Amino acid sequence: MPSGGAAGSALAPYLASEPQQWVERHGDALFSFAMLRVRDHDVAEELVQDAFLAAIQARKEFRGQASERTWLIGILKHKIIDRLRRSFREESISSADTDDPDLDELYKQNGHWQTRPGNWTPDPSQLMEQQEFWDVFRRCLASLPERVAAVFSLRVVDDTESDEVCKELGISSTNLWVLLHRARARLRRCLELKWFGKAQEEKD
Amino acid sequence: MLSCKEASRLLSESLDHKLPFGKRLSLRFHLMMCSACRAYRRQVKAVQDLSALFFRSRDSGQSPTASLSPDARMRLQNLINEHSD
Repeated sequence: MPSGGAAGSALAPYLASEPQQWVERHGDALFSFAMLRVRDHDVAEELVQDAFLAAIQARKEFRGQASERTWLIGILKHKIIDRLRRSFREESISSADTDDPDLDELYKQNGHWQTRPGNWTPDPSQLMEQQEFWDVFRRCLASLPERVAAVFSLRVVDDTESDEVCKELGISSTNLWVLLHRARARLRRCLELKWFGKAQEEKD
Repeated sequence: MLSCKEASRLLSESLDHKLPFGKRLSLRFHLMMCSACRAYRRQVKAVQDLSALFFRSRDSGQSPTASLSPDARMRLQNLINEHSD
């Protein structure tokens, strides 16, 4: 017997559908959302599972303040954050997270650039159409270490303020900034090497 | 005097919070003098924008996204059926 359960729609009048319909209506959307952030099929499925179960428990509290999809995604976001927080609790941030020899070697001994950053000024509206670019981008994103990518997507994509990220994850500001710097710098380096750098060569 | 390496790190940090006055000044001064770091700043900002674009277009379902395998679908459906009325 499900706990707290009773006749479904009488107690959850604001929801558009019954839980039994959620996998069909929202399964892929939630799975995609999770996959972009955790990149592992099994982990993503587990997170979607946790989110659906939590939603079943919480559905009587839903007051129609957002669409059903948005509400479910919100619950999923929390599950993703929970998992990341557990990860940092079980394995504190170490030099494995913060050190980056690939980035260090971009600079000379005295801290100056080895090679001057290029002059790419991508026009997002033009790039939108170029599937090849987004394939490169996806590969660059996938090459980020797991925790670096997770923190980056929380801060930059889900647009969570710095101190809130620190609070949610239980990490210091300094550590957060180092992780974000790694994410941005690695993405930039990857895109310069794999896309924009080549474009520059072709122009010359 | 900041090195480019230090400036790169501060630039990233400045995207996450308002730098303390001294660091802000040092960074501004370095950028004034260093066109390489000015180029880097443009690139990092572009990376932010492109990242947001990438995720949002996929989150909103406009581009190819991941799908649950038939097995995964079944597992989820069974679980929900067990926990529903």
